[in-house]
Amino acid sequence: MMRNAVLVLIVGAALGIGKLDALDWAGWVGCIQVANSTCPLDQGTYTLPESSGQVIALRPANGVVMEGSGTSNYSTTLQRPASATGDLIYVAPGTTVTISNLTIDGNRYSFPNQYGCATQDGWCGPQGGSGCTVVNWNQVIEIDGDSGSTVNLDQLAVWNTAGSTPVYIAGGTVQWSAFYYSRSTGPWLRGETPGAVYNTSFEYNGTAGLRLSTPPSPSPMGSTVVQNSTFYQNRYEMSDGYAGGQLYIDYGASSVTVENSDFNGNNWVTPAPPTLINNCNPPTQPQGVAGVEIEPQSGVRGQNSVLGNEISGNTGGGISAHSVSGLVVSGYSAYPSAFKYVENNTGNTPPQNTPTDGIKFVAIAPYGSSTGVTLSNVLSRGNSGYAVDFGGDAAASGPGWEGQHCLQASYITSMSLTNPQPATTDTCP
Amino acid sequence: MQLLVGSKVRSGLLFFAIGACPLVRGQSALAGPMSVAQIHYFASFFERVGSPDVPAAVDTVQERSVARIFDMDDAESAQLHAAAQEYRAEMAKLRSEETALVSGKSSLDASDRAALSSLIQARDRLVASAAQALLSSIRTATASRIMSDAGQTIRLRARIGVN
Repeated sequence: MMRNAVLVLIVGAALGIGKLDALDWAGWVGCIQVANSTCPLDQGTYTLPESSGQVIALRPANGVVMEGSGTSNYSTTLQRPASATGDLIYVAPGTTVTISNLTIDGNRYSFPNQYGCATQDGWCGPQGGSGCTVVNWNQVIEIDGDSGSTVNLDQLAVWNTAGSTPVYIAGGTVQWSAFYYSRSTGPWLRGETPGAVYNTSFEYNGTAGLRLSTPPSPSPMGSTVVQNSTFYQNRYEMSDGYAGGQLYIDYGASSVTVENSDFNGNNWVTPAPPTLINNCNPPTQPQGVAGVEIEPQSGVRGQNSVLGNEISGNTGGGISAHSVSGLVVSGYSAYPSAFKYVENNTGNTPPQNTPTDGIKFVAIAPYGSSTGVTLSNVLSRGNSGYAVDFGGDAAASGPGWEGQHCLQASYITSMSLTNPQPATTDTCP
Repeated sequence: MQLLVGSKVRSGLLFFAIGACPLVRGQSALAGPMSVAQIHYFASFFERVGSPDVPAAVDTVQERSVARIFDMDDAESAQLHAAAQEYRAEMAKLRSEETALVSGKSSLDASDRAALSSLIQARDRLVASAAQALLSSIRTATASRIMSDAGQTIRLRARIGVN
């Protein structure tokens, strides 16, 4: 039966036949093994097969479009089999695949006492915890785009995933998708090839909503754009035990542009134990959430830009930049032409309980002070701490302040900047 | 805001004329009938702010966020809210019918597929009506920002092989 379906598809591809009617499961599994096929799957929920607790992964061929059918992307769901580890979808090196109009259910609460923290038995992060079985989160991946592959995601919903990196892709376009309720990170774009994230939502993921990374030098780094996207109360569970950002720009990540997106932390601070979050223990001390967290040496192979984003309600700072090597921050973005504020990041940042800054720079050992810092027409107001704070990185260098800034609170600058003093205005746009 | 969706979604016509919608007010950002690609764009748009398959609180977050992203003022945000609410209610009916059609079946026969096709057509009518109503009730500049985004999405979808 399945061989017949594959045969039909091969003949169809040879004749240049276009989109097929939706296929049943067997036909669809055959279809995705034929290069350059567009494969729609009938509506319904499909639990993937497993063998000895290991998922039998889908391995699409090059050029395949895997898509659901029905009235919405929630009409067709691929579900992880209960308690099974391994990849749901594996994309081989050199392969380009598009996944569209589907939902992936990570089924995290089917894992007893482990990834999903379905019972009140411990923290179950990578460092384990009392009564916890230490497990390798890296064995639970929903979409595993191997090195050199390109994975495009369009109108895909991914939720209830258990792994540390449930969606791991080297490059590609992610648009109109949604990543919710992961135990850990949402997608991780590795940046080997250019990547783009448009109109995508990240909510209530356990750690960062989105992680942008880069391969070790000398691999080329594609530029990555994040645009028109929503980040809301990510780092909800803090399953790695530490504070961090809703968007995580990794060590060395370069040529990233983040613009016209919305980072709302909903004033989240993890509760002190023994209060649980999704039945999992929180970190031992309360932790706050930053809007955008930018790590050391990022920007070293092409400066990063954070332009025209609304960044509010984050208790760990609006933008938190650590020993960066090239960063432009502005309240304005060119596309679409708009301005937005870093504002109302209020309360105190735990565990030190210092007032929450709008934009803060911190030098991290052993990386030293930030370099290549440009602050262009910054709009920062209504934060409980400083509008801009170089107090933790007093020797940060770079072009410095450019244009007119709206800083409706005090600021601390770095005298090592080429332009160390901002031209401020009280008339904010 | 009232969307043009019949209560009997499967009894609708196979084809429809967007321009005939009597509830469209003012100048729409769309010069003529919506293309399939534009309907697909607005299906994504309204699923983001009004999907019945996610908790209402999630939709509310998205609705507020989309209003900020497209620089909507308070009146436009209210229009978006109304459109999202209507979309959510009507889509819930379509999703309910769809689920009833496929549940418990290991394969779909021709009549199932025909019924599902009708539901998708009803979804398209809902999306087109909601989009026209929204676009005609907001400022030209705001509508232009949305249509510019639609253009970008459509180009990207063509590039990655999604209609």
